[in-house]
Amino acid sequence: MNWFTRTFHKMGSPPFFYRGAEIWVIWLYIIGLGALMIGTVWGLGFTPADRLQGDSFRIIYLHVPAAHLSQLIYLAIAVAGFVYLVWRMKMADVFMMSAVWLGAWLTAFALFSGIVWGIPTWGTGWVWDARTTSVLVQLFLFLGLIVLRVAIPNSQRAALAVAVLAIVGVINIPIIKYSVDWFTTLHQPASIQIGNPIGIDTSMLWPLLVNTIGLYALAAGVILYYMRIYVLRRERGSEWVREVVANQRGDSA
Amino acid sequence: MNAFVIAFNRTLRLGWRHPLDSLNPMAFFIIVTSLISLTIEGGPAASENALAIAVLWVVLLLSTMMASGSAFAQDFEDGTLEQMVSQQQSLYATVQGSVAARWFISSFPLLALVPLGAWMLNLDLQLWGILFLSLIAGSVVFTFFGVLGATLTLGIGRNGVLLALLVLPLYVPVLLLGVGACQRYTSEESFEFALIGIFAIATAAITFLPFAIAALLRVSQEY
Amino acid sequence: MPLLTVSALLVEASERPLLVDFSLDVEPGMLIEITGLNGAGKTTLLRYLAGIRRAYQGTIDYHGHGFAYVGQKPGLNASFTVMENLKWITQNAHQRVAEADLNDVLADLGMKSRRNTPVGSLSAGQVRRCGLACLRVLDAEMWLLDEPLTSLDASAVDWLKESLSTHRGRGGAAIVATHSTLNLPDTRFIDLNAP
Repeated sequence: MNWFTRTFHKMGSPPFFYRGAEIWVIWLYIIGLGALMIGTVWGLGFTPADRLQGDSFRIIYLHVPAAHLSQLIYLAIAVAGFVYLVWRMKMADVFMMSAVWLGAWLTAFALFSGIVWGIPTWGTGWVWDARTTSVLVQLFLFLGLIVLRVAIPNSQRAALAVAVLAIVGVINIPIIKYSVDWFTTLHQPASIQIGNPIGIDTSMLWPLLVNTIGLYALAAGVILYYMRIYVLRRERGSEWVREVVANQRGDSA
Repeated sequence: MNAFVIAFNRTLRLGWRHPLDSLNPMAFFIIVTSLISLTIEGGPAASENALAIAVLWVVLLLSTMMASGSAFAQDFEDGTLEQMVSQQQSLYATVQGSVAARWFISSFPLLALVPLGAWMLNLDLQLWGILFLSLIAGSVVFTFFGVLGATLTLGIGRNGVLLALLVLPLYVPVLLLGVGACQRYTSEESFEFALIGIFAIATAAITFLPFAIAALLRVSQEY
Repeated sequence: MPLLTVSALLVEASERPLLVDFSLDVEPGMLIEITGLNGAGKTTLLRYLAGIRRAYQGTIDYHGHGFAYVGQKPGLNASFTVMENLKWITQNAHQRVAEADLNDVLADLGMKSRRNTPVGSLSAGQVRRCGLACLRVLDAEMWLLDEPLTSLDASAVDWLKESLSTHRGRGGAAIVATHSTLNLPDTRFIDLNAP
């Protein structure tokens, strides 16, 4: 076995994951929160106001990373779904369970912050353009994944059905984006082109970069944190979980 | 006989034995369309083509979703699905045949009602052709995604709202392209691209979605 | 040459292992009764053997031509007639069976007069009989039966036992999951609860 397959198999082993991930959670939380703090203070306090939009542009420091990250999480869930369908790797399903809530919240936040940003800049909170619509559809897809898992009583069947839905959905997202783009830009030209006329200055870019790193690290930390919880729940009754629980009891006593 | 023909025949016969399964969505189509024409003040004007097109697309979408929501449900209950999964190496052709028959049973009558709906909503006569053409492709996609939703929710009682939540987001692209094609035709812009787009999506649905549906049929037996 | 070889099969229910390293060779003429408490995995094992669930560890190989599986659900559509259902069963297994042969099997089961009755109008026992009819209709060397005695009357039980003997005499074999034994000679028992 080469290095890759060995790591792949190890990552798929729940006890190995549970023990190995603990230190990662702590570090990712520290890095994530730290970077978010630095980036936000920098972005809100130490960058010049935008020539066109004034201070309201500063919401991009959270809006843009959240929107990107939510898309990345959806993609990652679909990949995990594929891995689970083909190899039945338990950790892939644990990842789907843990990431789906965070993805839904981030998508909702991206939509909400977009509305808040849109009111002063566009004069309206909502525009049916490609980006907004595809993010809204993505929110519905996330909700579908959540509800489907709750609705199917058999846990394994639920996991497999969620995996298939995630894969079908991920193929759909670019098509949606493309079709809305075509529909709106050619039929009723958007009154405001997002991002296009505003060349971003490097002084505004740095805090954005720091915040993006921070949010990604924090999200990875949150997902790993929940994965550790779900893996215990999923493997309850197995030998290694009993050991973990016994050790915890021993520590606290 | 190959698996496609067997599944097609079987689904068609079942549809014949249960005429209400196709009549209910038809009644739904007519009722909703007439309610909308009723509630537009002074009746729909001939100039409101955009509205008529959007209404007919959405109502056809909802009726098709209703019609395909029960796909494979009976087979799941009575163990037929067990036998299919057990004896067949690949369910691809079976799924394709079954969905094709379902389209024939439910979408075909609905498409036949579209002229009636277009007349109720006072759609310009020269738009009927493009509307009909685009709806043919649209109904294929709606049927496939509807069956996908139905197989996702097999064995879950009272799945109507859940089905809508799972399936409606997937309907977005074909709805936008379809309505877009009709409206650009109305305003005499180039519409061919969108029309080709929905037929391309329909072809993709016919080719690839049976894989997903077949996988879900197998998954439904994993307990 | 065995009809069925199962080697190192992992049987799981909801990712909980029920049987680990399960191996079995089924020779022609064998009758195997699988016993065990509720939840021991009798039905699940049969579903693996019938290919309804995919084996992720271990292998299941049939060396004869095919198997027939009768599960706890009848696998018959209520709005189709008895005859239509039997025809579909043969089509589903990619087999061609003459209508006369189907009639013979139904006559043997005492169901010939109901051949054009929709299955939905039959009694539970009659539905069960039709489900078992697929064993005789299909040309399969392995029979997989899940609780076949449920809601059968004495004459149908006799029919089943007789069919099993004939089947074994012809070189077929059967695996039966059941709580109450069929009491047939030369039966091999596998107790899933045995350590």
